Amino acid sequence: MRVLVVEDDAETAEFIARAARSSGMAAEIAGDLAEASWHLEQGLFDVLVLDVMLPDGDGLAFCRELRAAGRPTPILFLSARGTVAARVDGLSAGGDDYLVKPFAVRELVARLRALGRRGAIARPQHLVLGPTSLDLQARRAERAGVEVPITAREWQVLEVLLSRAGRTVAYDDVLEAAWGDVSERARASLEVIVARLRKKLDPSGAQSAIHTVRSLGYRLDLP
Amino acid sequence: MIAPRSLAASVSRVQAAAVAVASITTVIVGTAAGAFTAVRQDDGTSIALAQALARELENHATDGADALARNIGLELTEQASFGRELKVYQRGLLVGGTDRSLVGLAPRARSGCSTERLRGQPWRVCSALTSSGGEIVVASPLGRVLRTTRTLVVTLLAAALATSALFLALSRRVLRRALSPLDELSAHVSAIEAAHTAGFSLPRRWGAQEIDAVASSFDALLSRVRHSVERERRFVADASHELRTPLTRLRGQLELLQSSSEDPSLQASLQGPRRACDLLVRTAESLLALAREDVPLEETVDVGDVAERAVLALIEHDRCAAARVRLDAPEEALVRGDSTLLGLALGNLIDNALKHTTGPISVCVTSGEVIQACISDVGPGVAPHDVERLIEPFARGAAPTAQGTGLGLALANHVARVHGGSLALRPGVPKGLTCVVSLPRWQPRKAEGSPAPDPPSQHHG
Repeated sequence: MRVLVVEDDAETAEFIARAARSSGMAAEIAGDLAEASWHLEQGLFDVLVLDVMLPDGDGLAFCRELRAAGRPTPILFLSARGTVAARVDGLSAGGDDYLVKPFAVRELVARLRALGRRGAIARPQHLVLGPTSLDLQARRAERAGVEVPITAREWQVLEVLLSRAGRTVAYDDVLEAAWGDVSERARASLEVIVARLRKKLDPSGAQSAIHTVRSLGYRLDLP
Repeated sequence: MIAPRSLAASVSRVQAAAVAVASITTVIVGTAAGAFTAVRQDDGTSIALAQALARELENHATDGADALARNIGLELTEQASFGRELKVYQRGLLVGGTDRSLVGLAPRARSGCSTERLRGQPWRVCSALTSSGGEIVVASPLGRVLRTTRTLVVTLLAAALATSALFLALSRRVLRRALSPLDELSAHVSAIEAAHTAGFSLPRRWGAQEIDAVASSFDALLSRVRHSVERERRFVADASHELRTPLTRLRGQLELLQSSSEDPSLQASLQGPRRACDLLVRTAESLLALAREDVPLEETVDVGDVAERAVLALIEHDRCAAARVRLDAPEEALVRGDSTLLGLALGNLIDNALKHTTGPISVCVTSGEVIQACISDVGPGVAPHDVERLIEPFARGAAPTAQGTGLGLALANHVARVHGGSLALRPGVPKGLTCVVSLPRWQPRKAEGSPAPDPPSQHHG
């Protein structure tokens, strides 16, 4: 798996690359957008880590250009802005994930791995699961005109399952991506969260999209 | 303190009082002048009568003065006296006149008029002398004049009062209308929130110079506030970026060093810097959060989940401390807000509790009318008079062991406030402290229209 780290702070870029390498990925570093373009022309990357603010331009605009040019490589944004609006900006520019500085390295690596495994599949913006319609970018869900209160953690779990829809996602993979922690305590919470999520998406339980694969993990089936 | 009064009421009251004083003065002066003139006129008539009679008396001095005087007196009295009493004296002896019973109407041996009290009534008494030692005394009752005067006073006073009342009502209305732009202005000004001054300006024309002046000063103030808010926002954004970049570097490198090293002693010695770095990260986040007033409340947050995450983060740093924390969040407790800020607030409160005691800490999240997160410890607690002070940034408890960012309570208070909630500190029984963060419970409502297909992409937070 090849990762391109586009980050103007050399030391930050360096430790991200080191972390990626130490977990078995290949990593290249670009200090600005021009360098990033050059790298992208040279070779294929599985994941892009893109800082939002770069010396020669805006990471969001760069992402839009890449998408317009038909490049589907998954992009993880790094930003100093942690607001929901900033996250929506990143995702609507064509980003696939968003991480706020300062982040935990483990979390970054887990997310990179998830993105790499998922590969370049188009991420739907709108989705209908049973009676509930979802706006994945704005993280809003609605059923019969009433908003369904899905919490941030539930969205994370849902997104992990969605990214590998139709396949079974191991408990630990979900935990790593949503909690950054695979302890017993986190595992117990995951069960509670999945139960709540099922109930919120489909209160009647008739057409539940999330299935438990005994002793392995969860699987989400798209309609 | 004196309760503030309505300006319109005060001014119209003063005006009405002025009108009343002016009216009453007019009444008094007018009545006095009227009464004086009436008495003078009456005196004139009395004197003319007395003098006419005196002349008659002189002309007929040789006749029986008594009979003559009586006749003339009676005749004239009937014709022109209007209730006057008349006495004719000849060399000090009463020789005729009306109503002999009018006792005390004595000869006075001089001409002219004076006021006297006879039979319990005030009279004007005028007299005319003859050269032969006769005297005509004419007494006119003052009662008539006084009655007229009294009627005049009452009428004028009533008119003055009516005018004042009318004026009071009228001027209050006029003033209220004149001052109504002030109410509107104050509504405009109160509608401005410090954090949302951008694009807000006050109308320039209010229909009165004075109010235009007030409005333009407010507008000037507003633009200064706007500048300072804008500067503050830029500062926070810049500071945020400048702080996060090195912190990201520091935290990442420490984490990587620790995980890549095989040497247990190096790993152990890195534990301290890791903790210091985490504290620094949290302090920076807290400071930045404290500087933010306009927090968009867009996430659906389960406070129980936030509390759990805070406890999990603790486990990663300090297992011993984490073992002392018991979390109890049985049901989902949904609020609308910012999960990062809420996490920071609860994390700080839990940290505070851990620092102030070595005993167990209980974290509970309840979902009722309001969502409450309680962090209770059995430490020394705080004195009631210290509560206000401790909520200020950088305040520390009295305990010598107190350490930490000093931002915990201030931040929790601020975060609760921007979420429309509050922070309360309750002393425990018999000791300890419970921090209660109360937040408004969020209930999804029927959405207005269809869900927005394109989320707004222009946000400056």
